[in-house]
Amino acid sequence: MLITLHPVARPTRVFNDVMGSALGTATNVTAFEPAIDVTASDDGILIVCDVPGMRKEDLEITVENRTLTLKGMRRFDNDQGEQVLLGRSYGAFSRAFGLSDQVETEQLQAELVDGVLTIRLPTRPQSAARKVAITSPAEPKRMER
Amino acid sequence: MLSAWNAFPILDRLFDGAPVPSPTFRLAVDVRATENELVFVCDVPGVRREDLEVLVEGGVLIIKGHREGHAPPGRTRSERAFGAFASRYTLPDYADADGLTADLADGVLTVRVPKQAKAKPRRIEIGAAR
Repeated sequence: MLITLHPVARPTRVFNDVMGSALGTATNVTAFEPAIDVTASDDGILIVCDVPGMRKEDLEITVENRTLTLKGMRRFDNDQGEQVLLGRSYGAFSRAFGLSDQVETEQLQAELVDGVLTIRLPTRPQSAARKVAITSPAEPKRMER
Repeated sequence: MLSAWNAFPILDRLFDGAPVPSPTFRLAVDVRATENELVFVCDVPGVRREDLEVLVEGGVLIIKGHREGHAPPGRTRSERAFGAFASRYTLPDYADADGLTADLADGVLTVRVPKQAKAKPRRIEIGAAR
């Protein structure tokens, strides 16, 4: 019998495929909520998201009205007749982030490597401080005699 | 949401403000059993191949490794966990540990342990006794 030894007790569920099991019941799957790191610096915003096993087609990034929305669906591919002990989580997720006016949303870059999605958004370079000259009103003309 | 069990919550508060990644990496694993093999599917996003180790010791499958964290410059709100992780599974008698294979792709480690031939159901011919 398969025994798991973990330093921390963690609830696990046994999932029997509906087709293969006489009982035909499926237990609830833990919803997939990806861990996301957001870093803000003078250069821009960096969003790093753990999405192991997901492909580009399963992810969607949209920007609207200074809000960036990251959506995705992690599918559970279950071959018929398998018994599964579910430790991972599955399903659809959606996370939204508010962007400041300084962020150049058109320059958004996103890449997916080794199950990690990295989104970069540069900020508009701050316009350099401009010195303003103080003018004096024109010298009044001396009255000609 | 999966919550990390932190053995040292007090220490974390002492180091508040310092770039310490607080949740330890929790390994999420699916275990599947097919007719021919046991399959362990583990989420290891951003973990390099050289930072992963899969071994079998005394009939126990051990999957361990660590994820390096580099804090990027700026202010970070962090949910991702870094650090070391390990999971152990006692393999059943019918597992053939020598035939174990492991693959890493898209941040998912898949370990396959074939079942020994004798474990598969064997059809027995019914002969006619005379």
